[in-house]
Amino acid sequence: MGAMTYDELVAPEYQLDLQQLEPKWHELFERLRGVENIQAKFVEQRFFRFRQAPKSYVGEFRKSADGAVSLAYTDPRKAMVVHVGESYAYYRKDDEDVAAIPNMSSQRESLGLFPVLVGMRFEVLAQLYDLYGNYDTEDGWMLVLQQKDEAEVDYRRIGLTGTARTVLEIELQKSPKQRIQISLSEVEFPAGFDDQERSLYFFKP
Amino acid sequence: MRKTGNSLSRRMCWLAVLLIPLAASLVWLASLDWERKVSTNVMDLIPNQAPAPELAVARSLLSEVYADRISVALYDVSDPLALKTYKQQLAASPLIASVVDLAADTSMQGLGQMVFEYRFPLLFPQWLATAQPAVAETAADVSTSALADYAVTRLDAALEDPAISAFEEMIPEDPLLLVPNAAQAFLGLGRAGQNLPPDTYLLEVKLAVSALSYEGQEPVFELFEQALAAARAYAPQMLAIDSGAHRFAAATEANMRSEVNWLNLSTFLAVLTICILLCRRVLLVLHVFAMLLISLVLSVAVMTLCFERINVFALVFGCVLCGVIVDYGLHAYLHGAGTGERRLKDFLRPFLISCGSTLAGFMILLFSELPVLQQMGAFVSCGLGVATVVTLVYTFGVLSRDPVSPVMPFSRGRRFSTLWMMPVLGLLSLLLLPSITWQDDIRSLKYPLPTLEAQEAQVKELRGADKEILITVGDSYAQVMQHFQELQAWLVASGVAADAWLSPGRWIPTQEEYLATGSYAQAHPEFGQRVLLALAAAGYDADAFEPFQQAWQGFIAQTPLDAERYERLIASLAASMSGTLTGVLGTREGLYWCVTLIDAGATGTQSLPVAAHSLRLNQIESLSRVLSSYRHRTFSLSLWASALICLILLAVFGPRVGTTIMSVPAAAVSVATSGMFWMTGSLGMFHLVGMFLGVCLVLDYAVFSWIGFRRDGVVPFSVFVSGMTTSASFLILSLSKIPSIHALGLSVFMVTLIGLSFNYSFIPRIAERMKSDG
Repeated sequence: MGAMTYDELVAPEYQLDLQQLEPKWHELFERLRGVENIQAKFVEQRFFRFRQAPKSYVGEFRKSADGAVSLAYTDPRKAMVVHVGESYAYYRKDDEDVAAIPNMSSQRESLGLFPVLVGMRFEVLAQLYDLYGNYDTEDGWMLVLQQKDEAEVDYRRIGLTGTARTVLEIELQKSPKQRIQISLSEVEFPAGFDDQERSLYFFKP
Repeated sequence: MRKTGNSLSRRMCWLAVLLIPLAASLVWLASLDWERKVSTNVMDLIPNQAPAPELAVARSLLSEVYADRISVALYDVSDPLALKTYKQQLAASPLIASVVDLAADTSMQGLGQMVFEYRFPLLFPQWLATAQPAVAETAADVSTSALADYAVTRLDAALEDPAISAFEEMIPEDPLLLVPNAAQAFLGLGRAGQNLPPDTYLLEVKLAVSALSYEGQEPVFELFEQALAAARAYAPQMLAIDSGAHRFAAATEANMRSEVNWLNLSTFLAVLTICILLCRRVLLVLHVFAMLLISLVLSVAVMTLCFERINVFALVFGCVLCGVIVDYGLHAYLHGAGTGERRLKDFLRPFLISCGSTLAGFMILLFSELPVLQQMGAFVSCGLGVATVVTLVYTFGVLSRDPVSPVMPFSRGRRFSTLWMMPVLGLLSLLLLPSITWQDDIRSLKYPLPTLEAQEAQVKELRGADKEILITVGDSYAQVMQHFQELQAWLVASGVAADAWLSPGRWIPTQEEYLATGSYAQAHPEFGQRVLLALAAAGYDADAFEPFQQAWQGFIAQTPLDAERYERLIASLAASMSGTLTGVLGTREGLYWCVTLIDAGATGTQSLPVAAHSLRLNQIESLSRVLSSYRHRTFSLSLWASALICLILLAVFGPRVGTTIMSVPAAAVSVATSGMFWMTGSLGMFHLVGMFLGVCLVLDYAVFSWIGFRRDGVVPFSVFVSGMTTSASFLILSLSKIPSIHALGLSVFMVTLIGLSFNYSFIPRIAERMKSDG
C-alpha cells in the first residue's frame, strides 16, 4: 500500500461505483463523515510549472462539526486564514477585514473542494470524476478522483489518502508539474472549538 | 343693491373680459403634455452653463450613468433557480435596461483582460518608477540586470504568500507581477456585493425609464412584485428589498400630495373662518378665491407659452403669488369698509404703489443667470401683473360697489400704542443678524421617509462600505491623469489611508510616464532576456517564461510611444469598463473624466484642491452647492429688489414718509429673522424666499395703512383681515412636514404677524404726529 502511487491507482480493477460501494468503503465513508472536529498541522507543497522546486507553506488545519474547513497559514510568514464552507469561501489577511473569495475565481473553485473532500461527499464530484480506491487495511486507504474525459474541471486528478478517522493527504493536480499537496500531521479530534477559535478560524464577514 | 355706475350689463361685460381669456387659458393648459412641460428632475436645477466644467460632467454622469440604478437585496434564496427566475423576469421587461448580479459581475473580467493585454504600456511605467529608486539604493548602477534581479526577488517574496495562487496562471506571462500588484487597486472598483451571507444576493438593476417618472415607479414596483412571486415557486421564503430613487420619489410624491391636500383644505377653512368672524361674509372668501383662481390660471398659461420647459421648483415658488393675490383681493374687496363706497379712485394709488414696488422687486430675478430663478421671477412678475388687472376688473368691474361693514374695533388702530416697540426690537434684531448661519444642505429639504431610509441603510450595508464618488476632469485623458496626480498628492497629504480609496488613476500612468517608459523600452530591449536569466539563476524554469519575453518584444515593437497612442490606450480602457464599472473613465462633449471611490467621510468636508479639478460627485453635495449658490443669488437679488422698492417709495412718498413706510417691513423682517434663527438654529433658501414675500406683504399693509389713515383717519379694515388671513394660512403651512413648505410658511407667518403688529403700533402714531406737525 505504502509504495502505491496515485497514478498506479487509476486502473480498472480499483474503480469504485458510488452507487454500489463495497461495505468496507461504505462504512469508511460513513465513519469519516461522522467525525465532527479535527485539528492538525499541515504542510502544503505547491509545485509551480515555472519553478523547479516546490514552495512549502505550513499552517494549522481545522474542520468543524458543520463541515467547514479552516486553513491558517503560519509559515513562511503568517499570511492568511481561509474559511471554506460548501457555499462560501472567506479569507482574512493579517489584520485586514474578512473578505469573500469571488465565486467565479479559480481559487474559490479549488478551495471549495476541501470541505467536500474532507467530508467524503463525492456525490457531486462523481459527475465530473471517476473514483478509484484501494483499501488495504483499516488504517490505510487511498482514493483518486480522475477527471472524466468530457468534464471541464480545474484539476485533472485529485488524490486522497487517510486513516479510519481522517484524511491525511490531499493532492490537487493540474499536471505533474503543477499541483498542490497538503499533508496533515499531529491530528487531534477536539470536542469543539471555543468562541475565540471560532472567531479566529471560522469567521464570517 | 345699488347699481349706480355699475349696471348689470356693464358688469357682464367685465365678466366676459375675465372669462374669455380664462376659457382660452384652460383650453391651452388642457392641451399641454404636462409631463414634458414640467420638469421634476432636480438635476435640471443645475444650469446648463455651469460655472465649473466638472459640474457639467457631474450633471451628465448623474443623470445618465448613476441615475436610475436600483439596488435589490435578495434574502433566503435557497434555490439558485429562484435567483435565475427573478433576474429573467426583470430582464424580460422593457422597463429594465440591465440586471447585474454583483457577486457574479463579469465586468471585472473584461477590465482584467484589457489590463493584462496592455500591461506593459499601462503598468510597466509604475513598476519602473518604483524599481529604479529601490535598485539605486543597493546597486551603484541601475542596469537592466539589476532591475531583473530586483524583479525576481519580488517574485520570490510574492510566492511566500499563499494568496498568490489566485495569479499563479499568469505568472509565466507576467513575472514582474504588474497585474497582481495593480489588481488590489482596481478590483475594489467592482467589489460591491462580494461579501454576502449565504443565500443572499445583491442585484444592480438599471431602469430603461426614468426613476423619477411614473413608468419608473408604479409599473416597476409591480414588476418587482411579479418577479418575486415567480421566484418564490423555487424559494418560498425568499425576500426582496429594492432601494433607489424610484421608491423615494414615489413615496415623497404620495406623501407630499396628501399633505398638500390637507394643507390646502386647512388654509381654505382658516381663511373662511377669519372672513366669517371679521366680515360676516362667506362670499368674501369665494370672491377672493375666484380672483386667485383666475389669476393663477392666466399666469400659468402665460408661463407655459413663454417657456419651453418649466421646473417644478419655479411653480412651487409660485405659491408666493397666492399670498400676494389673496392679499390684493382682500384689499380690493374690503376697500371702503366702514367709510362709504368702494371707489376705484381711492384704491388705485396705494394698490398701484404696492403692486408696482413688489413687481419691480420680483422682476430683478429675471436678471439672474440661474434658470430656475429666472422662471420664478418671470412667474411671479407675470402673476402680479395679471393679478393686478384681474383684481381691479373683478372688484371694480364685476362686483357691486357696496363696501363691507367692519365688525372689529381694531380697525381704528388705536389699541397698539406702543410706539417704541418696533424701533427697539428692530434695532436689537439688527445686531443679531451677522451671527446667523445658513443651512444649504439639500438633505435638509428631504421629506422624512424613515422606513425607506432604513431599507436603504440595509441594502447599503450589504454593498459594503459606503463610497463617495470623486470625479477628476480635464480636456484630455492626459490632463485628467495630471489632475489626478494632484488629487492623489492631496489625499496622501490629508492622511487618507491608502486602502480607503480606489481609482484607475492609481495604476494608469501619466502621459509623461507613459512616454518615458516607451523610451526606456526602446533603449533597453535586452531587459526581457535579463529577466529570464535572473529567473533561471534563482531556480525558475526559464522556458516557462517565454510568453513574457514575447510580450516584452511586442511592447518594444510598439515604440516609440506618442501622445495620440496614449489617448487611444486610455479610451480603449474606458471602453472595456462595463456593468458596474460603467462611467469610471469616460469622455463626453470634449470633457474627460476619471472616477475615484473613497470611503464616505474619509475626507471630511474639506474642499478639494483647485489644481486637482475634482469634485465630489455626490448628488447631495452638488445640489447643496447649487442650493447655496441659489441662496446667495436670491439674497443679493432680494437686496437689489429691496433697494429698488425703497427708491420707488421715496420717489412716490418723499424721504420722510417713504422711510416711515419702509421701516415697518424692514423691522419686521429683522425681528422675524432673528426669531426664526433662535427657534431653528439655521436658516435656508426657503426662509429667504418667505422673508421676501413677507416683506412685500408687510409693505402692502404699511402703504395701505398710511394712505388709508391719512385719508380716513383709520387703518383700512382690509389690512387687518389680510394680515390675519395671511398669518393664519402661513401658520398652517409652517406645520407641514415638507421642509421647504415649513420654512416658507414659518418665515411668512413670522414676518407678517410681526409686521402687522408693528404696522398698527407705528404707522397711525407717526401719521398722526406728522399730521399735527403739518
